Amino acid sequence: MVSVVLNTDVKQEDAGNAVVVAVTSRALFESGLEDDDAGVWKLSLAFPLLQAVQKVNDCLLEKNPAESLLLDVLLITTDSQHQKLSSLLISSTKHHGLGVGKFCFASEETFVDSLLENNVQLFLSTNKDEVQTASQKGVPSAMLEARKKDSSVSCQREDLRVWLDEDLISLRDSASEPGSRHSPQRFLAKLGEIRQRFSVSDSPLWISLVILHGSRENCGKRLKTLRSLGVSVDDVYCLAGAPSEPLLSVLQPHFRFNCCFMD
Amino acid sequence: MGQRVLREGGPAWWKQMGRLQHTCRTWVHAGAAQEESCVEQRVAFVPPGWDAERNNPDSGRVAGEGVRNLRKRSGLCSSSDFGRRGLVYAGPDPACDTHHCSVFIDAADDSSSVCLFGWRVFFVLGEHSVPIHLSGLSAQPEGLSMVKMSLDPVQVMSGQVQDIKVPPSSNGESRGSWEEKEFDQKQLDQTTKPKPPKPENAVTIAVSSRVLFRTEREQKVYEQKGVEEYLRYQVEHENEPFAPGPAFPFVKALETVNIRLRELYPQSEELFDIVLVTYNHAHVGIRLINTINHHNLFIERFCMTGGSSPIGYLKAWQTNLYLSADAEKVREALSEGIAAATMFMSDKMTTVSESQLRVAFDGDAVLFSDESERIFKAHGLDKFFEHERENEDRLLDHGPFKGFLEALAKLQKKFYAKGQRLNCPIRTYLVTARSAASSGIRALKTLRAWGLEVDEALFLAGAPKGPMLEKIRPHIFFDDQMFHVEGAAEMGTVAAHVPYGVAQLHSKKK
Repeated sequence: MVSVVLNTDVKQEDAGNAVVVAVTSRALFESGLEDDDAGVWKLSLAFPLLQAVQKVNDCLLEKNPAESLLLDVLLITTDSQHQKLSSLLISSTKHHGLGVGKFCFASEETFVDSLLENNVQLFLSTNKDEVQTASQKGVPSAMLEARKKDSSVSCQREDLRVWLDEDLISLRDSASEPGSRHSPQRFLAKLGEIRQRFSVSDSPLWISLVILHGSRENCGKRLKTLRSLGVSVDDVYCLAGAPSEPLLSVLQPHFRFNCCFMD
Repeated sequence: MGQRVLREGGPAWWKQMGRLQHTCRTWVHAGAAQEESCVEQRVAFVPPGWDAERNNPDSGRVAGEGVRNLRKRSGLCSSSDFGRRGLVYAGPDPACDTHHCSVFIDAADDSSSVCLFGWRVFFVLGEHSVPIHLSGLSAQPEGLSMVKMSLDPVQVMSGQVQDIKVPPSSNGESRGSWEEKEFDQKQLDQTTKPKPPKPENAVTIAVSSRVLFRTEREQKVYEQKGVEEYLRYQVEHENEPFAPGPAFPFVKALETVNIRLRELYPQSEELFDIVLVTYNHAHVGIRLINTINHHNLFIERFCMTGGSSPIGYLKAWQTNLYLSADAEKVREALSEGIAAATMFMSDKMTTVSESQLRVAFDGDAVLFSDESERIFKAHGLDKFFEHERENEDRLLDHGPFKGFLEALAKLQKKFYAKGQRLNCPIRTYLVTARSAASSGIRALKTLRAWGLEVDEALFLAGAPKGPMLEKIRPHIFFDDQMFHVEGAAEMGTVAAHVPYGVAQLHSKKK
């Protein structure tokens, strides 16, 4: 059974224009480890992401209090174990004051359908299989990146850092459904639109394009494709096969999104 | 001029590869050349094993049996040049295409056929010579062999004979026949782009966009109108490529070396890898890519950081050299152990070789540490000499550029291993204010102890470096003192400043 519960602590956003970002419960909470005092779960990997998303929303609203193009976070359970612990999840979320708009309690079998039903435009998880399954069904998905500055409870709010690339290997493996081709583009277009709300030097959202393999011709084409979608990236790296780990540790993106560029 | 060209040059002449600036039409024909009417343009063939340093021009010693035979046959016997440094034939041919030159070698020798395997060919104009790529060469025991050569100086010759079919033509009378023989130009072109090497195997050179290209106009827009306007300007002019900047000839020379390395070692990844690094925003990306395409540069790796520092991953990618227009960034790189230097725009740039990479280094605070310079600055010249004398046998500590010189030396050895010592497309120079008789000894001993050699060491004993550099024509000269950098630039040498060591405290800030 799938159910969606609204977080009453958080102002609900205009469903029409908001960009729904789903994060798995396992990515947000370290399950099983209870905070002694409050009986709630400790925060995990996805916390910095939520903070960054919050920062973007705050900046958007600062520029325009009536802004409807905001990031709407949905917390989703993707296995039956967590599905049963709905009240604990809700209370932990509220305890930490997280900007989660909705909760969706689903299981392994049903979570993708939930994602689709809730018009999720970006699904973030720490589980590779989940990411792959969701992608195949047409939901733009990405793995959450571990942060270098580890503390899951960092006070300083960072900008939201997005790394765009084309991971050709996984692209080859996944057989995407016919309709799914457009979803990454739709998400990118929205991302680009949000980025456009800010100036070059003063933005809480930072978009990097990384071309892992291939030539500069490839890179030029990708830049133009992104531009046609309305996405202007902030920095671009053409690695031509050089290892990406050093770049990863400098850029520290919150997630790496496979653009699935179609030639 | 004329046939005296070779003789007056002497051994040093062979090392000099000047840029060809001519549109001469010439062909070289054996047997029919008249000494008196020889034009200045000529082609010289140097036999394999002929050592420019050791063979005295007047010694008469010549390598290779075939040379003597050819000389006898040629009828060009009056000039003693022939057979000593190789064969030179020259003659006028107004019909010849400006970019091609046909060479006819009289190989009619009844005792043996002339084997031109391993010969090197130079095209000579006045005091300059340029090695030529031979597209095909075969020796036939009778008649003439025809070879068509391209005069594109960038195509550096390989030491191997290419086996393509050369139609045996008759003895030069029927001009028509060899004029028609067109070689497929594509054979000479590189049609497939090679894959870029892995960073750990290659010598990685990171160059910023402001030194590879000229971006002064855009800089002005940035300074006067701010970043948004600057980016708008860049996007507006996206299809206009930038003009070459001070690091451009250096990068082109690196690519020339790569071409030679790939010919000799097709599987090796020990090459130069050029990375474009800029703090520019990605909006400039397309314009930079268009510019790289326009200039036909082989740069596949680049980073446009949008403002954040690339030093972290430059270090991880084992960057051997970083060139930038911004002294701060250069200092940052130096502090991370990357050899780095600041480059400046200059209106005067003398022409440099397109076939041989030449890199010149200052000694103290560049190749070596600044310890001696400290003594000099603190206590004066006499104390400096005394210190150097006392410490003659103690090695100098290494400076920021020792590693880069090592990387160059490693590539040089690859050429030597294939018998290309004379024809090595990398040449290194030490240009130091130390004097040969005294303080220079310590420098040489140190280099020797490190297992490093420079091809030429110039001890100026305090004389200005500009004139000497103007003779050498390096693609780049590294010095820690702005005084020398400026002096070099005044005379047209591309000089880069290494902001390292005690000299930085005393120099005027730019």
